[in-house]
Amino acid sequence: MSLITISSSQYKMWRKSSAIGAVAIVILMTGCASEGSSDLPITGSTTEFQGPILQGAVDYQSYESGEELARASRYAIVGKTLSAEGTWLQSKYEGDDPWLNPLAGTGREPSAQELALAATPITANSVEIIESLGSPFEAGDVVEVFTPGGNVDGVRYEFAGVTEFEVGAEYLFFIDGEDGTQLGVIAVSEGAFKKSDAGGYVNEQGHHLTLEEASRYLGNQ
Amino acid sequence: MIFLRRFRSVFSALAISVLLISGVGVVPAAAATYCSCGMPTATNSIYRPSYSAPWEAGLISAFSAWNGIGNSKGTVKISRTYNYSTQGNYMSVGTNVGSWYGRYYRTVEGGSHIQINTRTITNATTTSSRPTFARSTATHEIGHLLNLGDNPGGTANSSLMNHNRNRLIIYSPQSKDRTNVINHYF
Repeated sequence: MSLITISSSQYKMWRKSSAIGAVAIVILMTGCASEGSSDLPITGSTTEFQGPILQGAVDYQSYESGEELARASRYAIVGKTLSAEGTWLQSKYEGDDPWLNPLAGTGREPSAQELALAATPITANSVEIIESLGSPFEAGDVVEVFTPGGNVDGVRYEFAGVTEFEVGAEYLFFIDGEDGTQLGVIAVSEGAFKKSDAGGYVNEQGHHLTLEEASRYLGNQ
Repeated sequence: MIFLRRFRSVFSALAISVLLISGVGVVPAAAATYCSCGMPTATNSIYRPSYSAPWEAGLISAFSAWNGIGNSKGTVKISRTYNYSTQGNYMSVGTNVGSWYGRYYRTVEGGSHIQINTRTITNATTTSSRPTFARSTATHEIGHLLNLGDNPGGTANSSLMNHNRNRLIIYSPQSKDRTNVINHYF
Protein backbone atom coordinates (compact mmCIF):
# COMPACT_ATOMS: atom_id res chain seq x y z
CA MET A 1 0.00 0.00 0.00
CA SER A 2 2.67 2.46 1.00
CA LEU A 3 4.52 1.53 -2.16
CA ILE A 4 1.88 2.88 -4.44
CA THR A 5 0.01 5.58 -2.60
CA ILE A 6 1.37 8.99 -1.88
CA SER A 7 1.02 10.06 1.69
CA SER A 8 4.32 11.78 2.26
CA SER A 9 4.40 15.24 3.70
CA GLN A 10 6.65 16.23 0.81
CA TYR A 11 3.96 15.53 -1.76
CA LYS A 12 1.20 17.11 0.28
CA MET A 13 3.25 20.24 0.81
CA TRP A 14 4.00 20.45 -2.89
CA ARG A 15 0.39 19.93 -3.80
CA LYS A 16 -0.98 22.30 -1.17
CA SER A 17 1.34 25.10 -2.16
CA SER A 18 -0.41 25.36 -5.48
CA ALA A 19 -3.82 24.11 -4.37
CA ILE A 20 -4.53 26.66 -1.66
CA GLY A 21 -4.47 29.55 -4.07
CA ALA A 22 -6.26 27.52 -6.69
CA VAL A 23 -9.12 26.60 -4.36
CA ALA A 24 -9.60 30.28 -3.66
CA ILE A 25 -9.74 30.93 -7.40
CA VAL A 26 -12.17 28.06 -7.83
CA ILE A 27 -14.49 29.47 -5.19
CA LEU A 28 -14.33 32.86 -6.86
CA MET A 29 -15.00 31.29 -10.26
CA THR A 30 -18.01 29.33 -9.10
CA GLY A 31 -19.31 32.21 -7.06
CA CYS A 32 -18.94 34.76 -9.80
CA ALA A 33 -19.94 32.65 -12.75
CA SER A 34 -23.21 33.60 -14.34
CA GLU A 35 -23.57 33.24 -18.08
CA GLY A 36 -21.07 30.86 -19.54
CA SER A 37 -20.77 28.87 -16.35
CA SER A 38 -21.65 25.73 -18.30
CA ASP A 39 -18.15 25.96 -19.75
CA LEU A 40 -16.60 25.60 -16.32
CA PRO A 41 -15.67 22.10 -15.28
CA ILE A 42 -16.07 22.98 -11.65
CA THR A 43 -19.63 22.51 -10.61
CA GLY A 44 -19.24 23.82 -7.08
CA SER A 45 -20.59 22.49 -3.85
CA THR A 46 -23.46 20.09 -3.41
CA THR A 47 -25.42 19.22 -0.33
CA GLU A 48 -23.44 15.99 -0.04
CA PHE A 49 -19.98 17.40 -0.60
CA GLN A 50 -18.82 20.81 0.55
CA GLY A 51 -16.03 21.78 -1.81
CA PRO A 52 -15.01 22.02 -5.45
CA ILE A 53 -16.15 19.22 -7.74
CA LEU A 54 -14.04 18.46 -10.80
CA GLN A 55 -15.13 16.33 -13.75
CA GLY A 56 -13.19 13.65 -15.57
CA ALA A 57 -13.58 10.70 -17.91
CA VAL A 58 -12.09 7.23 -18.30
CA ASP A 59 -11.44 5.22 -21.47
CA TYR A 60 -11.90 1.49 -21.04
CA GLN A 61 -13.30 -1.56 -22.79
CA SER A 62 -17.03 -1.64 -22.21
CA TYR A 63 -19.11 -4.84 -22.22
CA GLU A 64 -22.61 -5.47 -23.54
CA SER A 65 -23.55 -8.05 -20.90
CA GLY A 66 -22.50 -9.57 -17.60
CA GLU A 67 -21.64 -12.77 -19.40
CA GLU A 68 -19.31 -10.99 -21.83
CA LEU A 69 -17.64 -9.16 -18.95
CA ALA A 70 -17.21 -12.34 -16.90
CA ARG A 71 -15.70 -14.21 -19.82
CA ALA A 72 -13.11 -11.43 -20.24
CA SER A 73 -12.14 -11.57 -16.55
CA ARG A 74 -9.49 -13.71 -14.89
CA TYR A 75 -11.01 -13.88 -11.44
CA ALA A 76 -13.66 -12.43 -9.17
CA ILE A 77 -14.37 -11.97 -5.49
CA VAL A 78 -17.54 -11.67 -3.46
CA GLY A 79 -16.97 -9.22 -0.67
CA LYS A 80 -18.38 -6.68 1.71
CA THR A 81 -17.11 -3.12 1.46
CA LEU A 82 -15.77 -1.93 4.80
CA SER A 83 -14.65 1.59 3.98
CA ALA A 84 -13.72 3.95 1.16
CA GLU A 85 -10.94 6.51 1.32
CA GLY A 86 -9.72 8.94 -1.28
CA THR A 87 -6.00 9.21 -1.84
CA TRP A 88 -3.38 9.87 -4.50
CA LEU A 89 -2.04 6.95 -6.48
CA GLN A 90 1.34 7.11 -8.08
CA SER A 91 2.27 5.71 -11.48
CA LYS A 92 5.07 3.17 -11.58
CA TYR A 93 8.08 3.15 -13.90
CA GLU A 94 9.74 -0.26 -13.71
CA GLY A 95 11.44 -2.69 -16.08
CA ASP A 96 13.22 -2.57 -19.41
CA ASP A 97 10.21 -2.90 -21.71
CA PRO A 98 9.82 0.54 -23.35
CA TRP A 99 6.09 -0.02 -23.69
CA LEU A 100 5.52 -0.90 -20.03
CA ASN A 101 8.06 1.58 -18.75
CA PRO A 102 8.02 4.68 -20.96
CA LEU A 103 11.28 5.83 -19.39
CA ALA A 104 13.17 2.66 -20.34
CA GLY A 105 16.04 3.48 -22.64
CA THR A 106 15.73 7.20 -22.09
CA GLY A 107 18.54 7.25 -19.55
CA ARG A 108 16.57 9.12 -16.96
CA GLU A 109 14.57 8.44 -13.81
CA PRO A 110 11.34 10.23 -12.95
CA SER A 111 11.93 13.34 -10.86
CA ALA A 112 10.05 13.89 -7.60
CA GLN A 113 7.98 16.53 -9.34
CA GLU A 114 7.18 14.19 -12.23
CA LEU A 115 6.04 11.48 -9.83
CA ALA A 116 3.90 13.95 -7.94
CA LEU A 117 2.35 15.32 -11.12
CA ALA A 118 1.59 11.86 -12.46
CA ALA A 119 -0.29 10.90 -9.30
CA THR A 120 -4.04 10.75 -9.72
CA PRO A 121 -6.98 10.81 -7.34
CA ILE A 122 -8.46 7.41 -6.57
CA THR A 123 -10.65 5.79 -3.95
CA ALA A 124 -9.26 2.84 -2.04
CA ASN A 125 -12.20 0.59 -1.18
CA SER A 126 -11.44 -1.83 1.64
CA VAL A 127 -13.24 -5.11 0.93
CA GLU A 128 -13.56 -8.16 3.18
CA ILE A 129 -13.71 -11.26 1.02
CA ILE A 130 -16.65 -13.58 1.53
CA GLU A 131 -15.93 -15.91 -1.37
CA SER A 132 -13.18 -16.21 -3.95
CA LEU A 133 -13.90 -17.16 -7.55
CA GLY A 134 -10.50 -18.24 -8.84
CA SER A 135 -8.68 -15.42 -7.09
CA PRO A 136 -5.46 -15.73 -5.05
CA PHE A 137 -7.43 -14.65 -1.96
CA GLU A 138 -9.38 -16.51 0.68
CA ALA A 139 -12.54 -15.77 2.60
CA GLY A 140 -11.73 -13.40 5.43
CA ASP A 141 -8.91 -11.62 3.60
CA VAL A 142 -9.23 -7.85 3.38
CA VAL A 143 -8.09 -6.32 0.09
CA GLU A 144 -8.16 -2.85 -1.38
CA VAL A 145 -9.99 -2.29 -4.63
CA PHE A 146 -9.20 1.00 -6.36
CA THR A 147 -11.62 3.09 -8.38
CA PRO A 148 -10.90 6.35 -10.22
CA GLY A 149 -11.79 9.61 -8.51
CA GLY A 150 -13.24 10.30 -5.09
CA ASN A 151 -12.80 12.90 -2.38
CA VAL A 152 -9.15 13.85 -1.97
CA ASP A 153 -7.73 16.84 -0.10
CA GLY A 154 -11.07 18.64 0.05
CA VAL A 155 -11.79 18.24 -3.66
CA ARG A 156 -14.23 15.81 -5.25
CA TYR A 157 -13.07 14.20 -8.51
CA GLU A 158 -15.96 12.73 -10.48
CA PHE A 159 -15.31 10.46 -13.46
CA ALA A 160 -18.21 9.82 -15.81
CA GLY A 161 -19.49 6.28 -15.45
CA VAL A 162 -17.63 5.62 -12.21
CA THR A 163 -19.91 4.89 -9.28
CA GLU A 164 -19.17 4.83 -5.57
CA PHE A 165 -19.60 1.56 -3.76
CA GLU A 166 -21.96 1.45 -0.81
CA VAL A 167 -20.05 0.80 2.39
CA GLY A 168 -21.47 -2.26 4.14
CA ALA A 169 -22.99 -3.71 0.98
CA GLU A 170 -22.07 -7.02 -0.64
CA TYR A 171 -20.64 -7.00 -4.15
CA LEU A 172 -19.43 -9.42 -6.76
CA PHE A 173 -16.28 -7.78 -8.12
CA PHE A 174 -14.59 -8.87 -11.33
CA ILE A 175 -11.01 -7.96 -10.62
CA ASP A 176 -8.15 -6.63 -12.68
CA GLY A 177 -4.74 -6.92 -11.06
CA GLU A 178 -1.37 -8.31 -11.96
CA ASP A 179 0.11 -9.40 -8.68
CA GLY A 180 -2.89 -9.53 -6.40
CA THR A 181 -1.97 -6.36 -4.56
CA GLN A 182 -3.04 -3.64 -6.96
CA LEU A 183 -6.66 -4.39 -7.64
CA GLY A 184 -9.00 -2.57 -9.95
CA VAL A 185 -12.45 -3.46 -11.21
CA ILE A 186 -12.85 -4.78 -14.75
CA ALA A 187 -14.38 -2.09 -16.97
CA VAL A 188 -14.11 0.43 -14.12
CA SER A 189 -17.58 0.24 -12.52
CA GLU A 190 -19.20 -2.25 -14.90
CA GLY A 191 -17.39 -5.09 -13.13
CA ALA A 192 -18.99 -4.31 -9.77
CA PHE A 193 -22.25 -6.20 -9.23
CA LYS A 194 -24.18 -5.34 -6.07
CA LYS A 195 -26.13 -8.05 -4.29
CA SER A 196 -29.79 -7.85 -5.26
CA ASP A 197 -32.71 -8.42 -2.93
CA ALA A 198 -34.25 -10.41 -5.77
CA GLY A 199 -31.28 -12.76 -5.82
CA GLY A 200 -28.00 -12.67 -7.67
CA TYR A 201 -25.98 -9.56 -8.37
CA VAL A 202 -26.65 -6.51 -10.57
CA ASN A 203 -24.28 -3.85 -11.92
CA GLU A 204 -25.02 -0.21 -12.72
CA GLN A 205 -25.88 -1.12 -16.32
CA GLY A 206 -28.59 -3.46 -15.05
CA HIS A 207 -26.75 -6.62 -16.05
CA HIS A 208 -27.57 -9.55 -13.77
CA LEU A 209 -25.41 -12.50 -12.76
CA THR A 210 -25.72 -15.32 -10.27
CA LEU A 211 -22.63 -16.79 -8.62
CA GLU A 212 -23.16 -19.97 -10.57
CA GLU A 213 -23.19 -18.03 -13.85
CA ALA A 214 -20.17 -15.97 -12.82
CA SER A 215 -18.18 -19.13 -12.02
CA ARG A 216 -19.18 -20.76 -15.27
CA TYR A 217 -18.34 -17.78 -17.49
CA LEU A 218 -15.20 -16.63 -15.69
CA GLY A 219 -12.23 -16.57 -18.04
CA ASN A 220 -14.05 -18.86 -20.45
CA GLN A 221 -13.76 -16.84 -23.64
CA MET B 1 -24.17 31.36 -28.50
CA ILE B 2 -24.54 30.35 -24.87
CA PHE B 3 -28.25 29.84 -25.42
CA LEU B 4 -27.51 27.61 -28.40
CA ARG B 5 -25.02 25.54 -26.38
CA ARG B 6 -27.53 25.09 -23.59
CA PHE B 7 -30.23 24.22 -26.10
CA ARG B 8 -27.94 21.59 -27.61
CA SER B 9 -27.19 20.15 -24.16
CA VAL B 10 -30.85 19.99 -23.24
CA PHE B 11 -31.76 18.56 -26.62
CA SER B 12 -29.01 15.91 -26.36
CA ALA B 13 -30.16 14.91 -22.88
CA LEU B 14 -33.77 14.67 -24.07
CA ALA B 15 -32.79 12.62 -27.11
CA ILE B 16 -30.81 10.17 -24.98
CA SER B 17 -33.67 9.91 -22.49
CA VAL B 18 -36.13 9.15 -25.27
CA LEU B 19 -33.83 6.44 -26.60
CA LEU B 20 -33.45 4.91 -23.17
CA ILE B 21 -37.16 4.99 -22.42
CA SER B 22 -38.17 3.64 -25.80
CA GLY B 23 -35.46 1.01 -25.78
CA VAL B 24 -34.43 1.97 -29.29
CA GLY B 25 -30.77 1.21 -29.81
CA VAL B 26 -28.13 0.54 -27.19
CA VAL B 27 -26.96 3.63 -25.38
CA PRO B 28 -23.92 2.81 -23.27
CA ALA B 29 -23.56 4.01 -19.72
CA ALA B 30 -22.43 7.59 -19.28
CA ALA B 31 -23.42 8.47 -22.83
CA ALA B 32 -22.89 12.13 -23.66
CA THR B 33 -21.97 14.29 -26.61
CA TYR B 34 -20.09 16.70 -24.36
CA CYS B 35 -18.44 16.23 -21.02
CA SER B 36 -18.26 19.75 -19.57
CA CYS B 37 -14.79 18.74 -18.48
CA GLY B 38 -12.75 20.30 -21.27
CA MET B 39 -10.94 23.55 -21.79
CA PRO B 40 -12.72 26.78 -22.69
CA THR B 41 -10.89 27.31 -25.98
CA ALA B 42 -9.78 25.05 -28.82
CA THR B 43 -6.21 26.29 -28.68
CA ASN B 44 -4.31 24.35 -26.04
CA SER B 45 -0.77 23.39 -25.24
CA ILE B 46 0.04 20.24 -23.29
CA TYR B 47 3.14 19.67 -21.23
CA ARG B 48 4.55 16.15 -21.11
CA PRO B 49 7.89 14.59 -20.30
CA SER B 50 9.92 12.86 -22.99
CA TYR B 51 9.31 9.13 -23.18
CA SER B 52 10.68 6.04 -24.89
CA ALA B 53 10.74 5.99 -28.69
CA PRO B 54 7.55 3.95 -29.25
CA TRP B 55 5.53 6.22 -26.96
CA GLU B 56 6.95 9.36 -28.49
CA ALA B 57 5.70 8.30 -31.92
CA GLY B 58 2.19 7.57 -30.67
CA LEU B 59 1.89 10.74 -28.63
CA ILE B 60 3.09 12.97 -31.47
CA SER B 61 0.40 11.46 -33.70
CA ALA B 62 -2.24 12.01 -31.02
CA PHE B 63 -1.29 15.65 -30.57
CA SER B 64 -1.55 16.38 -34.27
CA ALA B 65 -4.74 14.36 -34.86
CA TRP B 66 -7.11 17.15 -33.84
CA ASN B 67 -5.24 20.05 -35.42
CA GLY B 68 -6.97 21.87 -38.23
CA ILE B 69 -10.49 20.75 -37.36
CA GLY B 70 -12.73 23.77 -37.61
CA ASN B 71 -14.25 26.20 -40.02
CA SER B 72 -13.89 29.79 -41.14
CA LYS B 73 -14.35 30.92 -37.53
CA GLY B 74 -11.38 29.03 -36.20
CA THR B 75 -9.58 25.72 -35.91
CA VAL B 76 -8.33 23.39 -33.20
CA LYS B 77 -4.70 23.88 -32.24
CA ILE B 78 -3.09 21.32 -29.93
CA SER B 79 0.63 21.72 -29.31
CA ARG B 80 3.27 20.49 -26.96
CA THR B 81 4.86 22.88 -24.50
CA TYR B 82 8.11 22.31 -22.71
CA ASN B 83 7.25 24.70 -19.90
CA TYR B 84 5.23 23.17 -17.09
CA SER B 85 2.57 25.30 -15.44
CA THR B 86 0.27 24.31 -12.59
CA GLN B 87 -2.58 25.94 -14.49
CA GLY B 88 -1.73 24.13 -17.71
CA ASN B 89 -2.44 20.75 -19.27
CA TYR B 90 -0.30 17.78 -18.40
CA MET B 91 0.03 14.33 -19.98
CA SER B 92 1.70 11.44 -18.20
CA VAL B 93 2.36 7.87 -19.30
CA GLY B 94 3.00 5.11 -16.77
CA THR B 95 1.92 1.84 -15.20
CA ASN B 96 -1.27 2.28 -13.24
CA VAL B 97 -3.85 0.33 -11.27
CA GLY B 98 -7.20 -0.40 -12.88
CA SER B 99 -8.57 -1.74 -16.13
CA TRP B 100 -8.67 1.64 -17.85
CA TYR B 101 -6.47 2.57 -20.80
CA GLY B 102 -6.55 6.32 -20.37
CA ARG B 103 -8.21 8.96 -18.28
CA TYR B 104 -8.65 12.68 -18.19
CA TYR B 105 -9.62 15.08 -15.45
CA ARG B 106 -9.51 18.72 -14.61
CA THR B 107 -7.17 19.79 -11.87
CA VAL B 108 -8.04 22.11 -9.03
CA GLU B 109 -5.40 24.50 -10.30
CA GLY B 110 -7.46 25.04 -13.47
CA GLY B 111 -5.50 22.79 -15.81
CA SER B 112 -6.03 19.21 -16.85
CA HIS B 113 -4.29 15.88 -16.55
CA ILE B 114 -4.28 13.14 -19.19
CA GLN B 115 -2.97 9.82 -17.99
CA ILE B 116 -2.13 6.83 -20.19
CA ASN B 117 -1.93 3.36 -18.64
CA THR B 118 0.97 1.38 -20.11
CA ARG B 119 0.04 -1.84 -18.28
CA THR B 120 -3.43 -2.28 -19.71
CA ILE B 121 -2.45 -1.15 -23.20
CA THR B 122 0.49 -3.56 -23.24
CA ASN B 123 -1.69 -6.43 -21.99
CA ALA B 124 -4.46 -5.76 -24.49
CA THR B 125 -2.27 -5.71 -27.57
CA THR B 126 0.42 -7.42 -29.57
CA THR B 127 3.67 -5.65 -30.35
CA SER B 128 2.46 -4.83 -33.83
CA SER B 129 -0.95 -3.50 -32.80
CA ARG B 130 0.27 -1.57 -29.75
CA PRO B 131 1.23 1.73 -31.47
CA THR B 132 -2.20 2.10 -33.04
CA PHE B 133 -4.01 1.16 -29.83
CA ALA B 134 -1.92 3.62 -27.81
CA ARG B 135 -2.55 6.34 -30.37
CA SER B 136 -6.30 5.71 -30.19
CA THR B 137 -6.22 6.05 -26.42
CA ALA B 138 -4.16 9.24 -26.32
CA THR B 139 -6.20 10.88 -29.09
CA HIS B 140 -9.43 9.92 -27.27
CA GLU B 141 -8.21 11.62 -24.10
CA ILE B 142 -7.38 14.81 -25.98
CA GLY B 143 -10.97 14.65 -27.19
CA HIS B 144 -12.05 15.13 -23.58
CA LEU B 145 -9.78 18.16 -23.34
CA LEU B 146 -11.87 19.48 -26.25
CA ASN B 147 -15.04 18.86 -24.21
CA LEU B 148 -16.17 15.71 -25.99
CA GLY B 149 -17.99 13.20 -23.81
CA ASP B 150 -17.82 9.43 -23.85
CA ASN B 151 -20.15 7.32 -25.98
CA PRO B 152 -21.93 9.90 -28.13
CA GLY B 153 -23.87 7.05 -29.70
CA GLY B 154 -24.15 5.51 -33.12
CA THR B 155 -22.26 2.42 -34.09
CA ALA B 156 -19.19 1.48 -32.09
CA ASN B 157 -16.80 2.75 -34.73
CA SER B 158 -18.68 5.94 -35.55
CA SER B 159 -16.78 7.90 -32.92
CA LEU B 160 -13.33 7.98 -31.41
CA MET B 161 -15.10 8.70 -28.13
CA ASN B 162 -17.01 5.38 -27.99
CA HIS B 163 -15.70 2.95 -25.39
CA ASN B 164 -16.50 -0.07 -27.52
CA ARG B 165 -14.80 1.22 -30.67
CA ASN B 166 -12.20 -0.94 -32.36
CA ARG B 167 -9.08 0.87 -31.24
CA LEU B 168 -7.04 -0.63 -34.06
CA ILE B 169 -9.33 0.94 -36.64
CA ILE B 170 -10.58 4.07 -34.92
CA TYR B 171 -7.54 6.01 -33.78
CA SER B 172 -8.32 9.47 -35.13
CA PRO B 173 -11.31 11.82 -34.88
CA GLN B 174 -14.27 10.62 -36.93
CA SER B 175 -16.79 12.77 -38.79
CA LYS B 176 -19.08 12.84 -35.75
CA ASP B 177 -16.20 13.94 -33.50
CA ARG B 178 -15.13 16.69 -35.87
CA THR B 179 -18.69 17.97 -36.11
CA ASN B 180 -19.12 17.95 -32.35
CA VAL B 181 -15.90 19.88 -31.80
CA ILE B 182 -16.88 22.46 -34.42
CA ASN B 183 -20.35 22.86 -32.93
CA HIS B 184 -18.89 23.38 -29.49
CA TYR B 185 -16.17 25.88 -30.26
CA PHE B 186 -16.91 27.61 -33.57
